[in-house]
Amino acid sequence: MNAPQDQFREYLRRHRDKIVHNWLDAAMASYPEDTVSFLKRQKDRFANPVGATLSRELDNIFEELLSESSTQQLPQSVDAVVRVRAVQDFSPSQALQVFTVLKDVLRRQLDRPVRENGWQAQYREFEDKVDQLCMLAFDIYVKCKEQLWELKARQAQDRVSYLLRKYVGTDGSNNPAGSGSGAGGDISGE
Amino acid sequence: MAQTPSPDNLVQSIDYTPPRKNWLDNVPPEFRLGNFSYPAKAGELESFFGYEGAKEWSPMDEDWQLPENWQEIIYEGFRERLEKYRSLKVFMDICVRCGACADKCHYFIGSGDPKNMPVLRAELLRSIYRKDFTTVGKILGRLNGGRALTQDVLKEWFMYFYQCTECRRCSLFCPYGIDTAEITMMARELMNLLGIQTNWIMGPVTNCFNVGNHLGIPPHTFKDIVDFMVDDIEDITGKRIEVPLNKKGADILFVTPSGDYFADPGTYTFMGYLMLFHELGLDYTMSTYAAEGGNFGLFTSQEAMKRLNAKIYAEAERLGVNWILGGECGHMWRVLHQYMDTMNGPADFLSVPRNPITGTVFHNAKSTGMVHITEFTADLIKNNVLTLDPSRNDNKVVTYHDSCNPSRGMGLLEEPRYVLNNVCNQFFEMPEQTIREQTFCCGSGAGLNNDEFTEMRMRGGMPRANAVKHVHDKHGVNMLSCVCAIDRAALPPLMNYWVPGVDVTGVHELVANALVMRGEKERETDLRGEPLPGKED
Amino acid sequence: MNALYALIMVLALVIIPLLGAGAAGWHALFGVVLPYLAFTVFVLGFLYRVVKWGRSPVPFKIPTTGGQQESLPWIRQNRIDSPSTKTGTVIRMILEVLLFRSLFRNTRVRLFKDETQLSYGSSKFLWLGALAFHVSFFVILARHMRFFTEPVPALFNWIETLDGIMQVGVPVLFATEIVILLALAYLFLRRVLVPQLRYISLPTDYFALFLLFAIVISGILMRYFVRADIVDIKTLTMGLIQLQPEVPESIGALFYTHLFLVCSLLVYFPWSKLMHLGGVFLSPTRNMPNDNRMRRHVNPWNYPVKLHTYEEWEDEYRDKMKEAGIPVEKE
Repeated sequence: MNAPQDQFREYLRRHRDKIVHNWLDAAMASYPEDTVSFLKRQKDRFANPVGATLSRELDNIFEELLSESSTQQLPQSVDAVVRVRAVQDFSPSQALQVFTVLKDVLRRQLDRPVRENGWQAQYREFEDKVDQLCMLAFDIYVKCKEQLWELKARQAQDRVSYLLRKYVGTDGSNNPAGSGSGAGGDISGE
Repeated sequence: MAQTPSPDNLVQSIDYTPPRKNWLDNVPPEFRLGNFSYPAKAGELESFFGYEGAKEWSPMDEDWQLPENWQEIIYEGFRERLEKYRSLKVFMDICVRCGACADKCHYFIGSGDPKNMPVLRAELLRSIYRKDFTTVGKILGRLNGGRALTQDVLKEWFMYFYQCTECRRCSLFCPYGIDTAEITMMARELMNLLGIQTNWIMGPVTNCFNVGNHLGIPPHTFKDIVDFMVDDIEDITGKRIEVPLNKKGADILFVTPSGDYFADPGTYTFMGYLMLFHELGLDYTMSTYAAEGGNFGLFTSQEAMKRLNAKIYAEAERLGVNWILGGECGHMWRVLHQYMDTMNGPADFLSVPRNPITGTVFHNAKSTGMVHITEFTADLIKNNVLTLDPSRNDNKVVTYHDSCNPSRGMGLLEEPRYVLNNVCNQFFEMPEQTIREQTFCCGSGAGLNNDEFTEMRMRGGMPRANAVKHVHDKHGVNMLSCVCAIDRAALPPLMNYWVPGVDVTGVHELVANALVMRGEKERETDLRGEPLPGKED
Repeated sequence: MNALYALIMVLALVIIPLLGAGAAGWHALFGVVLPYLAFTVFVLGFLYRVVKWGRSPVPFKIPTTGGQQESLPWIRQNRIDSPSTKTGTVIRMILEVLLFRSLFRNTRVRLFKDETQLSYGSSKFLWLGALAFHVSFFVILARHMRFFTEPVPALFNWIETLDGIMQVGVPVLFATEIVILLALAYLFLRRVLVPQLRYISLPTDYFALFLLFAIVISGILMRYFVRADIVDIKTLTMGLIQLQPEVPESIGALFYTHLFLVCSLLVYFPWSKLMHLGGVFLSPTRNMPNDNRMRRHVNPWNYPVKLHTYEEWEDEYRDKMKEAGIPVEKE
């Protein structure tokens, strides 16, 4: 371990709470103003799953970024955040901004100390980690969306799964929607 | 919001705070594939309501091609309903906008959209009421929170009254008991007058009316399905059972939601009923005419509700039964408990329900003559008439989701829990503020359980899923039980997305797993064909 | 913006009597005519609204159940939140009207031995703030009854003694005056400071608060700072009550301002959300018992609807049914 590396980490650790706090603020700014106060104030995680997930998981993620070796925790935490964003009213880029804003937060916090202490290399290295985080988030986002499409696609069959099994002899997973009409009726609502 | 932002936007949006806009300034909601339910087919509106001039349209259209006098139609409809419903009149007048309800809605919690706050959802209607129906509103107009009825307002109604699942959670916390379900029902009735209705609701309504159930399964196919189930039951238990259909003079008519006989996992619950009735030697019948307990009329208009519901009493009278037993379903029980007797009663041809096995008289149903299956089964278990082996459910760690209507429109809380505690050994409750009368909706009630709405449903169901995840992580819960057919359809995808590893079951599936039937073979599997604990290979 | 509109309106209401009763000296108008008018509008308006609500029937019995129903005898019913009797329903209503039970529901503190501690602070304050305001309001109203009764009934004297029990200052400081100011300030501030509430608040929401503020402040000014002659005021008020109005010369503009604001409140009341005072008693989700399946509720406008009868239906499916061995009516 070289000394600047340790110092840089030490600095991040010392300012950890502030950075995570600012990150959370920046992340929540993507919600309507009227909602942000609810997301922040309601501390009960059952009454406020979105706010609770964000504050818990952003904290976890930052901890993971600080640690030397990566664990299973990182993808899990990213998944928890992305899973929520993927079903809310966001475009894909907006949904993932929750991670890209971290770079902005870091830049504001670190601009001076980096220049004063000559931590440019360490800073770039850490930014690379954030980039990787964004990539990971992108993978997970696509996975969530795929899952949603699959759920959508499967539902038509799942709704009449019993009929399909009995009449078509399959659970419908390989059949296009609507094959249940063999039941003699019109599958309503589809 | 959903448009792909330009690079400029991207940079700015880091510090982006939405402009502080007054919600009264109409901003037409942005419809895009995925955030609305498809409109009803013109033909179905015509055939069921005799609605003339129905058009094929999409909410994404700029111009909704409304009839020329549409404002007049809404105005007249509104006036008529204010005269017919004290609830509407009072709820329009007395809200003080205290905000107690604001964060109680699962759609608000999941989406963060301020127009999903129950108070604001109601204000969408109230703003029109204030402008056109109150003295002060006519004078003060906008100062009094009034606004003109424009097409954009109507678009907002369609957006947000079809994001309400009529779950009544907000009503519980309101100091005046203002019930958003009631307001949503009225708003939907008003939109109905213009032929604005969703396909997912209108399809089942017409099928139920014409054929007898949501899917439009004709009687002979219904019998086929029941026969399949009988075969499946024989495979598992070695017992061949009979299911009486349209049998005159039976003691009991059994009515259950049709979801229970065409989709897993409801089918297993359905098998559960059949096994239980057989074991008791119950003198009952099902009907192929009143083959639907569910009632999507509740999500359409009171008239539609009445037209569909009428079949149950009519059939009970024709068959000459003594009383009616109802299966596991949420909104069905709102209708049966709070509307049926008023709409289609008095049911003077029925007698006070009496459990023929235990002799218990259900005084609480003495007027409607209809008993909930968990009331019935709880009574059986209390009287020790069933032989139960709960260890057969030992591979299931169970929690229970109260569906909205039985909990907040009926008060059915302990009966299913009593049953569950007797048929499985591992039962854990979710956190207190997410169950019983405070239960969170599955996110798909009131006719929102359609495919095109999947993403929205994942949002709306998030608070529920979040509580399930908690007991899943903490106690290893792998089975979410419920007494609702919409739940059984809506919760599996919800779990799949938020809490993989948790399956969904009806209460009577667990009952039937545990039920030791006389003369049955040694069971190797549960109703789903999964090996019983200890019989894994 | 909404708050500003409301503020301007209330300020206008303050200026009118200062000019009319103060500068122009129209004491009879502000001391007699307007109060009679306002009181009449209030009473008739209130009745009109209640009768108007009452004229709309209650077609369905739709209580929101907040607890276990009455079902099997060995299952313990929640007799208050899911009442099946008249008594239970009355108790539920009393708790709702006097103690704001539904709002309180919000505040029940639940402890979780989890990593996240929960706080229901904001909601608890809402219940407390609302209760504090309403209790103070009615105590103050009761205290004012001494101006309209001679001799003053013991009840009103007790209330006044109780209210002044802190025994601070001359004249004795009333607890309710402090409490109502704090409660109003809280109810106002949360509307301004909590974005969600700001979003839903209308000018009328602020108007009611400002009007009440102005009434309380003018009252406090008269009692502690610009002392008004109680004897003269009582002459006026008793005259009003006995329908023999008499306007003592010495009464100042401040009193007329106070009175005019009260008159404004009386006039405004029946046409506003303040009617929740009457409406809460008529709310069908609260004032009806959960005895739906025991006692039939009658809908006065129930009408016959188009049905698909069994006979029609059997005609459509008879052949198929016979083939499948399902019993039919007509062979």
